Amino acid sequence: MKKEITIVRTLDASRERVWKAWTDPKELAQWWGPNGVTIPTSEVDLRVGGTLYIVMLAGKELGPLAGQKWPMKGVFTEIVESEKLVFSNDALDEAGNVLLSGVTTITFEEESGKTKLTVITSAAGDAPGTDMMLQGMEPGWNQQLDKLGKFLS
Amino acid sequence: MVEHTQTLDAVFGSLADPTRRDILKRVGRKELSVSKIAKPYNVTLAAISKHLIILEKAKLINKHRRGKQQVVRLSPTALKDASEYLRRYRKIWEERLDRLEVYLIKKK
Repeated sequence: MKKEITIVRTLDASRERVWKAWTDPKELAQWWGPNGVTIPTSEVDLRVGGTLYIVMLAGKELGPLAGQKWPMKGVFTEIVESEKLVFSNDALDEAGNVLLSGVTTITFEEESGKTKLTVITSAAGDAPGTDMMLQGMEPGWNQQLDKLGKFLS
Repeated sequence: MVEHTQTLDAVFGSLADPTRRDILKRVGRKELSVSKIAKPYNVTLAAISKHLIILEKAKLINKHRRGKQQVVRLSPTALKDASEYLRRYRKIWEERLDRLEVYLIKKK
């Protein structure tokens, strides 16, 4: 069973611009979270071994989930400016336990002045099926959030 | 998605044991006979059987007979949950990139 996801997008901006949106913590905080969520904390230590740390805060619009915090922590393993970004990404619960684990590779390719962005992200650590099941049970990305997000958008 | 709390408890309970998690991982790759499952662990066949009963009760595995052997595989429910999870994971990323797209347009 495939546990890797590949998504390709063409963005109407230069690679440098897109790179900045990904690596400047102030910019990241502006587009990262879904509807109803704000980003009170975003830290980007852009170097190999450096930490990526983003906290999502559920707002009033998310009703029963309001006030919940969903931190995400990652470590950069490869950085090629405006070309490639590789980092681990772990979703944590409020106690710091790892709920979701993945590795994400992002490549930035120039295409007629636009940027072809390719995201390859693994859904779980190693073995297929079971880890995903385990992690599918955690509260952060539950159906409720999906539904509420849809309802409010 | 496993929603009923009792079932959730059964699943979490069954996954709380490292041997059971390991069994699930291996069976998740391909179906295995009970004897093949038991081989790497330093425990009795009876102990393995106990683990398998717990996993079966949690609807994570199915057992069926093939000739003289009992064969174990990941249950369709488990597989469905896993692919459902993948689907939602993809959706999270698709939406994230949607927002990036909107952000870049806004900030032009």
